[in-house]
Amino acid sequence: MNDEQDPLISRLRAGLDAATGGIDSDPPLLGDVTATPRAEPKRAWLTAVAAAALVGFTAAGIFVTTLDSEDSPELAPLDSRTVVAGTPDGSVPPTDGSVPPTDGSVPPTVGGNDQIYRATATVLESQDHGPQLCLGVILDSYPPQCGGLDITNWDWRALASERANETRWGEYVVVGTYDREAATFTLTQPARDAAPPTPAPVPSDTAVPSRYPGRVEAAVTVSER
Amino acid sequence: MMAEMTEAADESESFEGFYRRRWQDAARWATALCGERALGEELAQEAFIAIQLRFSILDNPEGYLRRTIVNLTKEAHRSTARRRWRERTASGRDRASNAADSARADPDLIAVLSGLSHEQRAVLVLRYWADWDETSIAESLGCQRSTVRSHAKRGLDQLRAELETDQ
Repeated sequence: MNDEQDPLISRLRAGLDAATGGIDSDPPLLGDVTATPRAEPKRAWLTAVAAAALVGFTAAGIFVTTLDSEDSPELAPLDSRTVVAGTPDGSVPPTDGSVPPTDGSVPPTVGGNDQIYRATATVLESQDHGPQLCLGVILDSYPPQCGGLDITNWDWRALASERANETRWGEYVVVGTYDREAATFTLTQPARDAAPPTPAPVPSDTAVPSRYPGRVEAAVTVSER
Repeated sequence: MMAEMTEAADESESFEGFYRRRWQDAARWATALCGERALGEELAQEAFIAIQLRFSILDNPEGYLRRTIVNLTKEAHRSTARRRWRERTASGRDRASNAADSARADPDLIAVLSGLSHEQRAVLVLRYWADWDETSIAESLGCQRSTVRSHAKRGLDQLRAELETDQ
């Protein structure tokens, strides 16, 4: 018996149609749009150490910010395979044939403060601080503890996460810009879970060599909106 | 039954256009997943507010909307949104709209659905009623497609057993 013939599925459809049938097709006015409330950051010594390490390594052109290279995340600038340079003003032209933004937004540039970084890292929010990109040591407690860069536009609502004792965390792939002075990270693409449920096969001619055996990193195009 | 979820999205569509086009489906998904219309509509609004804040950087607003709805309904039982909704249901308007929906709906079915795990309920609702494909459901739940199939089978088995017991 296929789904269409199963009386239980027919009943399920009818029941849910009835339960949701009164919803108006005209959307209500959205309420005041406010960012997700964030706890006032209390920058711990770990944050300062991590940020200092980031600045130092970045200045040296290494772009590896970890205190522990085995267990900690990297904050890597997108390389020449994914950042397409060449326009006179240093902006990044679209690679997908799309029209450059005309809404006044500034496209990312190669180098400088608009450099786009990518990291696979833990993001953690606790009573002491808002969502932070963990750099350096992550204390193996429960819930875990770490310090790092405040993420200015984080939103947990579309992401799976763990929670314990008013701490929320998860491991994500983040792409965004890094403000050295403010020690903040701003997403330029939505974060995604670090372990996708169904990894898509990567054609051999477009795969990006991984720094880690057994892991394939997907190329990220900065011109995506 | 729900309209197909894969309506073509215009690349240049504004957030307002996206909101108008997807509101009803999102509110119905959320309502079906949480079992309560007023809460479902509130969660759908919360999802659109989240999307509005970052619409310019989303390359797949549809996928973001689906994930957000599923996550918010999972969180609803312990979130402040539910507390706010409980406070608001003291108002006559909400009581009336929920009562009207309950009268039309299948209360036994809704009760059994509410007793399933979030994952089983989500798979049954999204696969058999909202017509999402397996990949979209797996992405929204953060699981493998094979796990979606497993939830579907176990959820249907439980739904069938409990509804037959009730009769």
